[in-house]
Amino acid sequence: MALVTCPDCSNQYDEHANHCPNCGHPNPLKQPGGGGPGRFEAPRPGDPLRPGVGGQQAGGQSYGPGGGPGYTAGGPGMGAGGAGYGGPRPEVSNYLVFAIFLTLCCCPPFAIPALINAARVDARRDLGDIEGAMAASREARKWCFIALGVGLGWVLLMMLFQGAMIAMMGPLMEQQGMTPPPGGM
Amino acid sequence: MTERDAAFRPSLPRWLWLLGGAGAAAGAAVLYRFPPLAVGWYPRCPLLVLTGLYCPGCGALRAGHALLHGHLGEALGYNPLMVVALPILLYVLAGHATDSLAGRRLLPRPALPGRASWAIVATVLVYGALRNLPFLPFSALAP
Repeated sequence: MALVTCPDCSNQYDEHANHCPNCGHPNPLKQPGGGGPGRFEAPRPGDPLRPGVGGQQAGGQSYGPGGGPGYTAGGPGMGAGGAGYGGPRPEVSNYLVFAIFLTLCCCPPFAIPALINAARVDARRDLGDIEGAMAASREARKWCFIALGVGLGWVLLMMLFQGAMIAMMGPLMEQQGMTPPPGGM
Repeated sequence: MTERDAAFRPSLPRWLWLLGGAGAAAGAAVLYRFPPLAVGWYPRCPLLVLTGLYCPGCGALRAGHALLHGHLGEALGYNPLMVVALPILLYVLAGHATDSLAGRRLLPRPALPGRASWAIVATVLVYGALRNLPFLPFSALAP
């Protein structure tokens, strides 16, 4: 379901509705060519002012002279004008790839909250809960950094500890014809 | 924080990518040179040390060493999911990196539907659990 932001009250609602369920303002998408204050501007593929590849958005994207918070429809990076999911939707970083890498190589117990929150970002965004998605995004980011910090701390600690052990035990073990213990991860 | 802030924002700052990239390159060089099974000083997984359980990343160092030397089959034996997922993960990671370094989207990266994200997370966690089961076929997933 694609969402449209009401130019009047900023409520987000289904693009197929004729009016905003909150304030009754007509759906700007249902008013072709209806310029003027508060006009909603859907992104067009190939729009030279707004290339689909994101980039720093040009200024003055706030719709309507009233200064109401309108958001740039069709998040950048959604390909050509948000094709594929068919509608305006800002992109919220989910940090999923970082959470997975941290699960693989750092510290799984602390990476699990990052994984869960990463999935929540996309699930909430699908429901139109952009604020919730951004909150989950911040949580995912926070847990990624926690997992990274704990993981790096652990690595340093273990390398010091194991290095010391090898320095002490190595000669002894070589005398007895043993191999040093394998590193495991 | 306004909604418009959600528009284009690199997920991580540039300095972190440069630092992380340098660290990753150094780590890969060390991993290429020293096989994890032959030297004892590679860090061990905290979960394995504390609980004896395999996590989804168990075997990643050994698999990484095998991959760097081109031994795909050996790498699959150490951590099959990691080896299979690595090309996708590296592509997405490169996408995030170029977002930050170039300031704009160079590598296309479709937004995942919520269900797909949950499915990925569930796959990782279930895989981590299953590889602890001591009988076939699950023991094949163990490092």
